[in-house]
Amino acid sequence: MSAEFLLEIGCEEIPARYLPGASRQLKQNIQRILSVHSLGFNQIDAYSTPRRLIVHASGVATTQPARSQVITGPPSAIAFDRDGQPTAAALGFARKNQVGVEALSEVETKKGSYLAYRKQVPGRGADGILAEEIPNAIKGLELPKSMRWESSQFLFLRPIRWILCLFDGQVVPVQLASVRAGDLTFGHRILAGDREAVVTNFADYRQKLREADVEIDSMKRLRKIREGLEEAAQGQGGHLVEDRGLLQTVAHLSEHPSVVCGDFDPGFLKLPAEVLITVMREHQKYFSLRDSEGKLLPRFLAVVDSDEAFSRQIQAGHERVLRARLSDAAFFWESDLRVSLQDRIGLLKKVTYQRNLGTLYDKALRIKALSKFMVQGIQHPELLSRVQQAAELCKTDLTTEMVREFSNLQGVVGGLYGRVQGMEPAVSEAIYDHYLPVSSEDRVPRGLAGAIVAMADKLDTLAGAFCLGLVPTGSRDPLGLRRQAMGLIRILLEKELDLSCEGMLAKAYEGVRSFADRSLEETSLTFRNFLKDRMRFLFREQGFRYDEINAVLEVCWDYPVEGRKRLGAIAGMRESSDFQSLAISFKRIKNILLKAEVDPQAACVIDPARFTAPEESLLHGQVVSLDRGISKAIGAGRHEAALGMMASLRPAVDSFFDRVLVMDEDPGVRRNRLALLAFLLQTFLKVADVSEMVTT
Amino acid sequence: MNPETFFRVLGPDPYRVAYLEPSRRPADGRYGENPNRVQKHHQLQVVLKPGPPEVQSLYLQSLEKIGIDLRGHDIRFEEDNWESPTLGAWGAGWQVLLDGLEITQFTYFQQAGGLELNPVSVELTYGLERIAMFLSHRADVFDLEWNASVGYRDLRHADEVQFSRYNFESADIDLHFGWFNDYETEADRLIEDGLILPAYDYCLKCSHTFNVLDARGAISVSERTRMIQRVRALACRIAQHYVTGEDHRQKSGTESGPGGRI
Repeated sequence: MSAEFLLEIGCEEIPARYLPGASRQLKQNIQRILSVHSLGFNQIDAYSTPRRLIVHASGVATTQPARSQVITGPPSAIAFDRDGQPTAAALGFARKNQVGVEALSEVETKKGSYLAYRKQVPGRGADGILAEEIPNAIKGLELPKSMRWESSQFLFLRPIRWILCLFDGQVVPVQLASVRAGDLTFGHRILAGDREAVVTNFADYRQKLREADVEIDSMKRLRKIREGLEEAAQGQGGHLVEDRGLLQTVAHLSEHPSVVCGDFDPGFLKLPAEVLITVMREHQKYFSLRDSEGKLLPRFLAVVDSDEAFSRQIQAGHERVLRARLSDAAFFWESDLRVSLQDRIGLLKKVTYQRNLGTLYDKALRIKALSKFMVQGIQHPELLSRVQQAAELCKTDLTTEMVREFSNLQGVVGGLYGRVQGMEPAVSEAIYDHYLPVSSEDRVPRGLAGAIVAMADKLDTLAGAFCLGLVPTGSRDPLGLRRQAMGLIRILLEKELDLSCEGMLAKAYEGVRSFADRSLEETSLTFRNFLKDRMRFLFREQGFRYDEINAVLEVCWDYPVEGRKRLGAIAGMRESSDFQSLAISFKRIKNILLKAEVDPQAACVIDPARFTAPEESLLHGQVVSLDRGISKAIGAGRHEAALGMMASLRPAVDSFFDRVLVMDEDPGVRRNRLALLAFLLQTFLKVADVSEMVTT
Repeated sequence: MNPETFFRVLGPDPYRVAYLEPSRRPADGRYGENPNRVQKHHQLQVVLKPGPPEVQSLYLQSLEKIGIDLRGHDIRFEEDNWESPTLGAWGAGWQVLLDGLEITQFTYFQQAGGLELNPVSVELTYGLERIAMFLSHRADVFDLEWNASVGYRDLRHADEVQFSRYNFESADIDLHFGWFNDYETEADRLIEDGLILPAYDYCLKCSHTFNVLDARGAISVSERTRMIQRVRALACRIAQHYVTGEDHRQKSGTESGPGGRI
């Protein structure tokens, strides 16, 4: 027997950003309850609107399957007497279980044979289990920010006002906070006047809510909104400025979404598109439109929780509000421009960058010094003056009203103001871009000057945090250090900059040394491990395998560009049989050296006169010539060739291990052989630590 | 925050009150040039302690009562958790948007003066200028009609221009820092003397002085945190004394409370 389960938690408006997570968790928790209690089901789905969290399960077993339980009694040895008659112990056990002795059997355990009763336990009804467990499913939600609203002190995202809970057409008697479950739901608050409806099953529920202007499926709402936006954009002869995040948000802000189109005074188009789009998105959750040449149109699209029929009068209100918002942005724009970025440098001295890391002025000076170091490193001296100017000015927009109002426009606003104030384009562009990339989908800075300032900013942030021992743990990363490190690596890779990460960190540490409570060595080690983790993640995303990544990072984490080239070479080589067997030999060499307590990094003194076997001389001769060849190939960026040379050693290595005993009795011979192996290892490590490779 | 709200939400006694409150935010001044941002506007503030279960629908009915036909409009409750760091107060709630215009802040008070609140009060602050603009289809607050012969511009525009200039350009920074210290000293002394209600007045003066200095751009980030802490410390002590004070029952009224139904 199976039946249908339906739960709707009716709330006051749940914040859009919490809705998807809460809905997903509620489904998982209900699913867990069904599984834990062995209640089978066909399908379980979650839905949500701002006013409801909904879970529907079909084909749920109405009772648990019966199960048998073994209850052990006294040992068989004392259960029956010599005549095979049950003893008092056996009779007592039978009585306790309210059965006759004939219902008992014997079981073998580790401790011997025991008398036992196999009890058939009937399954419980699902209704009782659900009534008991549903409150736990809801209390078990991990809610980011919950509130109290009544004397029960119950905590939830927003007040719970009704609960609909049906199983097999019957109300499941559940109570949460002061609300008892029933068979009622409520329609759209405005369009259907919050009309109540009695529900008998899920089909009936959907039908009645549809009639009451509520769409419970957020994906359907999202599709409807997207279609509405595209249609409206076409109607206006424009193209929608795509914004997936905003689309998600508005789908979680309405039960009956429709799109309203409005205009704003074209006079506001004197403000840059970045500012207009941000004002519309951040303050009003509006979408923007561009014409076919990419210029912003003086129009907006608003997603409202109402019906198309009322679009016209709703539009007028939204237009008035946007006018005020844009006037505000124009106010910021004009008053900010009265003070040039150059004159704002002094203001930075009054703004703390971060506790214990000085002011923003200090930070700008550090970025300046660090970017000079980088410009020298990549040998582009012609960039120096532009990079220095951008570094000095890049933080000045943090003193503007516009950035105070829209913090996500930091950098962008500085670049825009710089452009208006007649700054050299390469400088304003560098300021504009220096926070990039702000996410994994985001682009890196366009020009080299922007790339340098962006890297210097990120390195300073990382060095500053690590020298104070501030390292992200678990999901806690309040300073966004992971993003900063990832940005640094991506810029190095995408701009193909051959700079040493460790060298840059050491330079960055110089800047923050006076604040540091960790040594350079410690800070550098934290940085190395942190960066390696980010690189592992990034290279995995690019399709490389763990062992390839480890093999490369082991020897050249410091130069990501070089690392990626070697990764490409290794991934191409790994399937060849010579390479495979070399990886095995490599591990073997490492183990031998480890056991013999030879430091593989130490200088190797090899005396060819002490070789006793021809295989020794052969291997030595090949390694010596290859060592030079590999260095040369790597220097020329020919990584496949270097790996090929390594693989070509295979016959010599194999015959060495076949014929020669490394741990010879004569200590001199032994030492000499170990030194040869260490030399071999060092030669290989110039390319990658092949011992990390998983062989097939 | 009006003392009618700050004190009444503390403690266990039920209470209901509605009053008109001029709301002053120095940093919001726009020299009378913005169509709906001003450094001083008016709110109808309502406190329902405890908030009744049907509070949202009561609120919507109140809008209908003043002539807003909800069915033809877009009403939205968008997350906006209210917080006053200087008063150690915060609540969970929404800004209520009417066709995109914020007309009310709707808050379930969780904490005030650093104290957890139980029962939880609901506070509704109706933005009267915004609502009037909506009802009379005006795009600019200064185009509102006060009555048949006087406009909002006549009443309020000079005030906006002058106070914007004062708050952003003219307020004497040293004097304000001095006043901030003096008000703090006075509040501190009054708390020691058990004069909690006057002490709160001086705590509010501290808070406003801080807001003026902030608008004036005279406070650095680290100083900012410290000054907020200082006002907050006063507010928390005042709240603490209010709820533990032996005579607070007399002050806060009897069982039924002086506040009737709204």
